[in-house]
Amino acid sequence: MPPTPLVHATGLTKDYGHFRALDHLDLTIPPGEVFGLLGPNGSGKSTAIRIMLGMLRPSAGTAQIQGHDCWNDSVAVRKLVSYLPGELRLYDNLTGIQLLNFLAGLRGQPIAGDVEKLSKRFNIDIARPLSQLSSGMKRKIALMAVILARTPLAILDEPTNTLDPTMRDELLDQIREARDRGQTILFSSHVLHEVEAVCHRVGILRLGKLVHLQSLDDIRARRRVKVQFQKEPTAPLPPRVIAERNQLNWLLYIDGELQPTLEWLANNQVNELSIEPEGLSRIYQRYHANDTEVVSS
Amino acid sequence: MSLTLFLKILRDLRWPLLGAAFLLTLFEGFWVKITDRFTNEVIPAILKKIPYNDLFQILFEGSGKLFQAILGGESVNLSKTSDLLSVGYVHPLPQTILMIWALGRGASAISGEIERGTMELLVSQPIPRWKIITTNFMVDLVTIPTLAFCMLLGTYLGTILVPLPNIDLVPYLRGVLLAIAFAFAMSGITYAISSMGRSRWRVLAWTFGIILAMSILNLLGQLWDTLGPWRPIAIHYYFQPQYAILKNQWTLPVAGLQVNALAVMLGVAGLGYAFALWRFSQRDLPAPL
Repeated sequence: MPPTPLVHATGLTKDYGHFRALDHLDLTIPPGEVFGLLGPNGSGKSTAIRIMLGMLRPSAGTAQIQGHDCWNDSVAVRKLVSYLPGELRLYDNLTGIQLLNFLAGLRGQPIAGDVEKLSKRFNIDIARPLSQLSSGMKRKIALMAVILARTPLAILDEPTNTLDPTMRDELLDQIREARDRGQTILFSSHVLHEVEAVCHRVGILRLGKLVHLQSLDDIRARRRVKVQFQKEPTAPLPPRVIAERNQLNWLLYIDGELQPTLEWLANNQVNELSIEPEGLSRIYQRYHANDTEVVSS
Repeated sequence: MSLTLFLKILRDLRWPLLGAAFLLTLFEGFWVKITDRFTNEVIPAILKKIPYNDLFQILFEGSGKLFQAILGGESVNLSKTSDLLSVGYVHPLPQTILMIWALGRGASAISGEIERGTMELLVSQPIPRWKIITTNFMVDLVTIPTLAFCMLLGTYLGTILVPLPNIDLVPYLRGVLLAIAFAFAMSGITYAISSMGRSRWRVLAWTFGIILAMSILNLLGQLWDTLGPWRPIAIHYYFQPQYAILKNQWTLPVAGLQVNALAVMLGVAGLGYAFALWRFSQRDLPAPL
């Protein structure tokens, strides 16, 4: 029996006047999963996240976290969620430790975990006023608040923005540790290799629609075949193969066994052929970098 | 109310609060000195040469009427110490300080937080939105009366330094009460507008425009009788502390009825805060500008 989903969105839609920012998003995230939400600016990632946090009222559909409705029962939801905004703005008149205590006070619980240890690991002086810190340093403080809250769900919107490479690696380690503790992470990012490094599953948004949902294990197993035919193939594609066609130059995306595709190719006249793992980057590019015709078997 | 948020807001406000409190205390203290000099030296010297009624006409006739209206001195006897002292409570300077405080607080509390992006940080914590408004209201409940009582403190300190004959400061508490209600009314209007906006400066511009328009209407209504019946639209009409201080009169005529000024101002404040509470709880919170 599958675990009860921690995040459950059904037909989630958000309209701003005539503009549809999010279009019937259906999404479930089980407990303990690290889920990557991908898409360029304006694709609806932040809108989906803001609805889940009860900041926006959905125009249609529902979003629930651990069974609590994100709009009608948003306080209960936010008890379960810690959030790192993409556009980070903090109270600059506070010091790092004052901000951490303030946020913990609003949660009604003392700071969990070892603040000193974490600040040393993040290499940051939490006694300094935030006004004296760089944007990367501020992001570290905000990340500390998220980590220390130890909520069942952490939502990280572009968490590695403005972080230096060392800190990015540290953040990915923190996500792995959180995953190992059983925390669920919803991770929105533009940096695909980071998503590939830590996520169990990814969803790709385009113009407010969820256009792709797949586990990273499947993506790693997926192959891309670049082929140039001498003449147009006539036989139908094998099952579980998607093709992008540009006259006689085809790109085939194969889920699962290669054998049926190789047999299909052997029955056609081929000029050139290359086979490689597809990777997340190519999947992402399919939705956001070209307008070639996409067909599936 | 969230105690954590309450203490943080008070901490953020400590220096502006001290500054505004100091200015109000200082002004009312100086006003005692001004009252003493006018009622004991300037006016008696003038009255030796011309009768009071003639002086009144010279000062307040024609364009002088504007000066009289600004002072709120329709029924004030400039030769009486208690009357002139009460003008210190309706003078434009303390009114302006209270207005800046009320508008600044109301605009910062909601639209200012949204504009700065810190509202996103607040509402991502498990705190109901209504608590953000009620906590800000509790802060106003502390700061606005503090500022208003500083007016009385200034008068008290002034009378210690410059003793005035036959002055009882207890009636001036009524002026303080009206000042509190007046500031809350402006604050309520600002909160209502702020709950709909996402730019502090736009909210300030709108609120200042509305309050300025009401102030001008009230002023013109005192200068021209034809505009007089429209004065009750302005919140400033209900802020006439001289009546409360000098005559213990709390009601003012509105369309042939006697209306309690304190109740009107507190009613406006209550409606403003209630609207802000409702609107802020229902609205979408957009990403920071």
